Amino acid sequence: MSPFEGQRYTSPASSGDAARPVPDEDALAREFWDRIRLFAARRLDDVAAAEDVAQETLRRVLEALRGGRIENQLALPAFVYQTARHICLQRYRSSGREMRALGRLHGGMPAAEPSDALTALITEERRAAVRAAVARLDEHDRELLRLVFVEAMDTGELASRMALTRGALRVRKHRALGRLAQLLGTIDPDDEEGEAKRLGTSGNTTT
Amino acid sequence: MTMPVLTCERVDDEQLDARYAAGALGEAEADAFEAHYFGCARCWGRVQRAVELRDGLAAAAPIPRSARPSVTRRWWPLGAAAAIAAGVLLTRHGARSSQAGGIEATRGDTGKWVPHASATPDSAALTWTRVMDADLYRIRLLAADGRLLLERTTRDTVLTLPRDSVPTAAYWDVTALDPLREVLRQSAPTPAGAP
Repeated sequence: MSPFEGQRYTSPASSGDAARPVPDEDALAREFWDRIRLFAARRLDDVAAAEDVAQETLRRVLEALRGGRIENQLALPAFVYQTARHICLQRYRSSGREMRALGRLHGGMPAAEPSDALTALITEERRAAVRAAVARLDEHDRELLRLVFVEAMDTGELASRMALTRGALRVRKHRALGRLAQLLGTIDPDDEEGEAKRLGTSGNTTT
Repeated sequence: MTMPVLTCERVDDEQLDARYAAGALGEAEADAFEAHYFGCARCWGRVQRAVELRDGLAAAAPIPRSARPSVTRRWWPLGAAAAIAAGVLLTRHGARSSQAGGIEATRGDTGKWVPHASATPDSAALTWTRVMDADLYRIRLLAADGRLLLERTTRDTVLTLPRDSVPTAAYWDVTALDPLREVLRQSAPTPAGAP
């Protein structure tokens, strides 16, 4: 049972409508499905379990909306998050696993080792496109982004290592991301022949 | 447990998206970030980007040692780098501003980017001007109370729907995204009811 059973989110300016329209289920799913799935996959390290959590979360949220228990639409994201969090906790308790399998890793996971559950959420097509774009990226841009996204270096530490101010580091990072976005934008996922050629060419990273 | 207050600027400054995807945030900070991105399209896009980039960068060939950042050999002195970077930032801002109506896109400013809604007895259409560097547009139809009615994505600059699926008292908003799902521009709410 949701921790929010019977609780109402009230708005200072309630519309007072007696008959509130039923929310669009498809819109709700589009808005929150991927967020819940990623959040749960990170917590549970299990894509199938994450999808179960997403389904159950949306079911409860829809139930709450239809029951008029969420009157302030601005509170909806927080309600969805807390519901998903509660369901994850319920699953963890019922499975009997230790807290460390569910909770934060506290830096224990090697930064260079991506979570299988998270990467499994990315489509193969998207992974291939991003990898191809990264392979074409200037090596200095690639190294900067690797330190940011793979090593997950602290901003201060990274700025110090590069002898930059935090502001200058921010600019460099955004420029590198901009160049990567341009490369990604030039890769047409429907152009199979061109894509194969690009991957074949870009695979030769040693120059 | 009191969660620290989070803003999009702080997410960017402290690279919370990258550190979250890497599992490098403390529990309270991760909780706060999760609560934030559930309600923030911009930071949600950044989380997705971080997950994708971790995979793409981890799979890339090792960087030659000569290309790795070195204080003495590669990177310019602090002052020069900052001055050059500031000049580049201003130049990019100016270029983007002149082409995008004078508004800095990355701040999610609603500015002057206003889609145009029209309707016939059978259909409702929304059109908007193309945003520089945009790869995808996300269109949402919202009820007057903010409730999300529908959401669509397109690479085109027009969306057409059956007339009866678009309530007159609803609002459109359009978000322009780059290939890495970074929010480039956010439109002002546009009434769905045609004048």
